[in-house]
Amino acid sequence: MFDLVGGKSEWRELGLPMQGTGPFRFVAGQVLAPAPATCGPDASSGDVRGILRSSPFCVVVNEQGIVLGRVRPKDLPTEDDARVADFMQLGPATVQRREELDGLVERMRNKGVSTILVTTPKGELLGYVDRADAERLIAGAAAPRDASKS
Amino acid sequence: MPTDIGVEEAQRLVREDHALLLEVLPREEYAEEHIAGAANIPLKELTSDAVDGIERDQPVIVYCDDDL
Repeated sequence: MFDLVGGKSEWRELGLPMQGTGPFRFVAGQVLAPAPATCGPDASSGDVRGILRSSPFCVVVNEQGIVLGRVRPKDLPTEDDARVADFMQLGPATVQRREELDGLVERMRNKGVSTILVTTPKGELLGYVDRADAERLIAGAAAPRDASKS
Repeated sequence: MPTDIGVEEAQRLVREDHALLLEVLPREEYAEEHIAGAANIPLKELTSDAVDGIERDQPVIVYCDDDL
């Protein structure tokens, strides 16, 4: 006999398959996408400019993977030798994997935000939630179904 | 006493040893949403009669909502 620590909440947060008639509890972990790019606070603006040619944003993390900030194209200075720590968006909003999507999507919509970072309780980067992915998951929940993403 | 395991080990037991996932929450909660493939015996009904249908050598993984 085994006891599943974390129960079905953790199973759900990891985006693993769920079933039932609903209503389903959708959480951030079910639509978690890997961060498109990361860099350290000492990276140069020139390096990050290159990264942002193929990524919508770059997450700034320390050596432990803890989120320090975020850089979007509009944050970039004109020169190429500035340190990321000096121009990054400090302490961006983050949520945890178990954040319920209904409320999160509404708050993101109200603030005009399309992505939000997801971290562990210690602040370590796990990835991000794209609002459009979350909206699609919620919209598809009307009928009895397999609630997994895959 | 049951042995505590995490999600990864549970997946391995299901995949390799055909373990049974058993939700012990009330029927209504199970019906709404449960781990895919899990069976349900509510904790209040968990008697020796209730588990008669489970093979004696089949690993059983019980779970509820979470352990926090």
